[in-house]
Amino acid sequence: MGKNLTMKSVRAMKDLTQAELAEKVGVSRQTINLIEKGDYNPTINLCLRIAKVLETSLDTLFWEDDNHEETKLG
Amino acid sequence: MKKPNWDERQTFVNYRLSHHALMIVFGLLLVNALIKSNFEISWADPISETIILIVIPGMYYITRSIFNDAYIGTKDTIRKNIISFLVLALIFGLSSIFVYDGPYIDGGLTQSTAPLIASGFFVYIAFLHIIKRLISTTE
Repeated sequence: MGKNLTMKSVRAMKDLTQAELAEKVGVSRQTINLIEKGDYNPTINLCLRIAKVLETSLDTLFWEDDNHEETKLG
Repeated sequence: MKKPNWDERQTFVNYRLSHHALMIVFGLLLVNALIKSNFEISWADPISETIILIVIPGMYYITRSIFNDAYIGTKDTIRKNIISFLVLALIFGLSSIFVYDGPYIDGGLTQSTAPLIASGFFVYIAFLHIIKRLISTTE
């Protein structure tokens, strides 16, 4: 699993720090950090909570299409 | 709904580490039983022996939990934990002064070493929290 740069950029656009997002979602800052680094696979419940807080869709945040994979692998 | 103290990742990490710690307890109990039955060695008083058999897997669990950011829940603070463990270390350290009668008797650890071991364990946990805090602030 690669880095979740989309989530990082959406969070930055909302002007939220990792700690602020973690507080709103109800998890630790380290968990948000690990999700963004691609070191932790969140459950669907947590994905939904993050998507709601960031006011975006699950697809936008977590869907990895082939082009995205190629970009990451390249 | 009440907010859980640990998030899902922390809960998962803690479950996994608890399982490892349980396996370590089983292993230590087995080794201890083999030593005692085959070599007839009493290496410690039963109280000290129990404390050591608890402290070793406890150290494993707590060390890994702290460094995996899973020990401190989403509501707890690291400072509160450090103070709590230092207070516990102080209580056990002070209580050892009143009961201490040397480290060994008949080649085994005495009962009076038990509070010292417990005190050392709590100092170790507080120290780990401090190290973790220093690492987190430099990240």
